[in-house]
Amino acid sequence: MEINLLPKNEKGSVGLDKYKSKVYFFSTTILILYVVVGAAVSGWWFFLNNKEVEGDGQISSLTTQVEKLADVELAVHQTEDRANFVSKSLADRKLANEALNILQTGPEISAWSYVEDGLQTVTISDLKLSEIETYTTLLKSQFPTIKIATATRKFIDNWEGVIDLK
Amino acid sequence: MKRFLWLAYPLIVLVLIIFSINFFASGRLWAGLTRQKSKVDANRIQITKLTKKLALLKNVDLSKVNNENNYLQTLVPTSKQVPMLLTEIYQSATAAGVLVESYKGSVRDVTASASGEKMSLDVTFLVGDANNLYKLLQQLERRIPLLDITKVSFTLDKAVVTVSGLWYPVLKFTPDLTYEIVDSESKIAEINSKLVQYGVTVLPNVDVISIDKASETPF
Repeated sequence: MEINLLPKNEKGSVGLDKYKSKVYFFSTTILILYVVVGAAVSGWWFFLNNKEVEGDGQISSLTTQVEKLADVELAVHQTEDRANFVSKSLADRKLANEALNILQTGPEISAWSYVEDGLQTVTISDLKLSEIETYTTLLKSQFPTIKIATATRKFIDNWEGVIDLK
Repeated sequence: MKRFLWLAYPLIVLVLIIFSINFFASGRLWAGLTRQKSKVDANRIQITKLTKKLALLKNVDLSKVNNENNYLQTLVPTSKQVPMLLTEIYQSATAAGVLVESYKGSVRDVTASASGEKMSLDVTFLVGDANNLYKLLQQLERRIPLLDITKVSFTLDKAVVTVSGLWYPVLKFTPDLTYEIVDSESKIAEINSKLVQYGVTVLPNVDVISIDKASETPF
């Protein structure tokens, strides 16, 4: 039979001493991890902070340099703006070529009314009725909705035709 | 009591962690780091843009840009220059062998708000016949780059032609860091090419703009 001669209250501390090395190891590991993570976060923060300050300074310097060339930027901007306007206007430009063809096709025209994107009427005179019809057929491909609005007999076989082109 | 002194070390570690865990886990730290990271990224993008813009601005040939602008202003004037338009109309009439009998039109205030507004004129020509009218319209179309013939009324020997000429004011732009510098040379070449395509035969005198770049077709 084993006899323990230690006082009763010291029995517990001997029990805790058994875990001392394990607790130290665990605490030190946690502390090292804590310090490593803390250092990493602080380092990252310092790095970002420095980068931010450095970037702000660079932006400020570049902005000043760009602002010094404001007159150049203005000239470029105005030129680009005008070029865009001219380009757009050219794209919207409607040529009267189609209308001009009327003046060159077929018999002589005695009257012509042209409205851009609107009604176009042409008057031809001193023709036979069949000639007016031939002229209308000739222009059919260019003006699909062409029609003889009026045909007036001026003399025996002499007609005046008013033709709606559109 | 001395026997428990070794417990102070793990207890200090524990207290340190408990007190700082609030700081780490609160989210303020991560939010701060994320904000800084975003700011650094945004700064990097801004620096790239500004560096590029500065390099482009330094490379701009101001005299070339001014010449381009002057050229564009001859195509579309900066104000309602009715006398200039009339001069061109008279020259076209002379070239077509017809006479200008009269003209009418209103000249309103030139304001930036009215930009792009057309200056319209009703011009009565003594054309004689349809052939001369044809020559006149051809001259007008080809002589004045951005002239629009909106209406023609021809009876007997007279023709009333409504023409519209464009104008566009010089706008005042304030320096804008986000504005990207562009070279208008290719756009001007495209404009020249279109003018050739549209049959414009008389272009303003241009020293800098290379017509050959726009088209091989001579004006």
